[in-house]
Amino acid sequence: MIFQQILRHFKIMKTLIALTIYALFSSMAFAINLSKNIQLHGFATQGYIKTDNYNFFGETSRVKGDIDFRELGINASYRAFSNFHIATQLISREAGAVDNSTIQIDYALADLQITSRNQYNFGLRVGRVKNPLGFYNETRDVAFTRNSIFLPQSIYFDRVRKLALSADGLHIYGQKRHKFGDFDFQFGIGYPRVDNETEIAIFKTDRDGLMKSNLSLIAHTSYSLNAGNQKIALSWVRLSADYMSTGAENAVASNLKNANFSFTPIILSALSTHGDFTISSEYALRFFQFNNMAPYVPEDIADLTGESYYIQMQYRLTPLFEVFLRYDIIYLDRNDKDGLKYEAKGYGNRIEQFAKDATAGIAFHINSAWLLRAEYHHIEGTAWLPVQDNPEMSNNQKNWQLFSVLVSYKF
Amino acid sequence: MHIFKNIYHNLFKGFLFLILCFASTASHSEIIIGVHNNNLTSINKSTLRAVFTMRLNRWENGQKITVLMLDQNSKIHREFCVQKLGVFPYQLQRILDKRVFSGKSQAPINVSNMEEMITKLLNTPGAIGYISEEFVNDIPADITTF
Repeated sequence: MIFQQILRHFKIMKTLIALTIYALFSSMAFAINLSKNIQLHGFATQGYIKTDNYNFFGETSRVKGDIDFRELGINASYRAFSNFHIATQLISREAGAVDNSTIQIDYALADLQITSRNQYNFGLRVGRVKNPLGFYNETRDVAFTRNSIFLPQSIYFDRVRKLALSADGLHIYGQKRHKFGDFDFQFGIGYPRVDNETEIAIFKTDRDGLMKSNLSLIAHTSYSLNAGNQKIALSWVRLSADYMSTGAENAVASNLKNANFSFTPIILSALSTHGDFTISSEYALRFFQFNNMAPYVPEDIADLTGESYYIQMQYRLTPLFEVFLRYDIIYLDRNDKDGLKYEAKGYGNRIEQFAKDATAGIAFHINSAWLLRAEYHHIEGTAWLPVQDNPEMSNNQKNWQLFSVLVSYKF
Repeated sequence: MHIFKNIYHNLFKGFLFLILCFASTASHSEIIIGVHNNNLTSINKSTLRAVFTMRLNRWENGQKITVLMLDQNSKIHREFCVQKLGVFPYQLQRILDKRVFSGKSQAPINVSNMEEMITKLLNTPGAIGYISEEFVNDIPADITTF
């Protein structure tokens, strides 16, 4: 036990050292005479989580909870010309058995603003670019930009994240500013990141074969008034991947040979701020199509549509204190919302097919560098519960609770 | 019961009103936008927002835009956000954080006080910043004000 803890600390240390070295290198490279065009920014977040009936990011159902939730990131950017910059960010995320602190390139891009006029601008981004899905996906791992400790899991589910996180490709973007408001758009084409996490979500286990992503499309448009005090956005992405099965797997289940899936979410987002009061909501339809993945994905649920939405109300009591309430719902299959058909067919417990999360939270914005949050969730259903943290998923407890405290620092 | 409810309600309203009075008398100085660019004759609110949220990186004459900003918690910065952009400082900060931590743009250059703001404005062609009215006599002629 102690040995394990030392090992874990060693892992954190290793991560920190690696991030520091990266920061030093990326600043040293240009620091000599171009330093005013170089910027370094970073963040560190530590969470405490306590749950009752299930685990969420660690052994959180223990009496004392767990602190196995951590987000570290550092980014460097260099503005080589007035309208051209390069930027990259490394992230290390620890989240129970879901994420194990491996350092990942979150984005690494070159941005060229082709046109810059007072009323409009237009440009290109090439490289690994974050996917602009909903209001929060692009900076979902940066606590300061989230609206709570955990983003509404119905839309920003953390158990399959990498697939929708960023893609390697090309984006075009632009904004048209008008006295009636600002119109923004972003279109992208690229290869999304898939790994064993995607396999676990589909097969419930990390199989021997490999997931390989296909060229995917993404579109995001938004219209905002009063510098974003009123904003609506529409995001759409089509992600698909092939499963490359091994010879041994083919011998057992030959149909896995041509296994593939596509995931096409469409998200409508809206937000309105009136003074210190903000109301926001996002609604998503998620279209899944699985081919040749039986028996892991049975044929009759190989083509399904999920539905998610939340509504959140925030109130800024003072510039430092904020409180919020949220109700967040996900249905994995909108034609079987209570999961009865799913259970009747013997695929699993019906409570795995939905989740209804009522959340209340507070935020203390200590200053521009420090943030403290606490929140309580009452959840009905286990649709977004990480399989990795709960090897025996269905223990028949429909209701469960989650309490969390988070502290975050940024520079 | 109903009467008590009403009394509480009115007390609460009165309390809120007092807070608002204090908040509004606490500070009220006019903010002036300063730009180191002679070609710029006017700048409207939407362009100003695009500039200070780091969406626009060149002026129409091709000159590089450098955005100067005071600390988020400073009184002048708050006045600037409310008067010129129509947002609270924390809203602007969140927009900037979202851009900086997704690689879309760099952060504004931080200055620690009005003197540094004015010096940097003067020394950086294409720079834009904001100046509190008390410092209006210190603004050099090279800086265009709006």
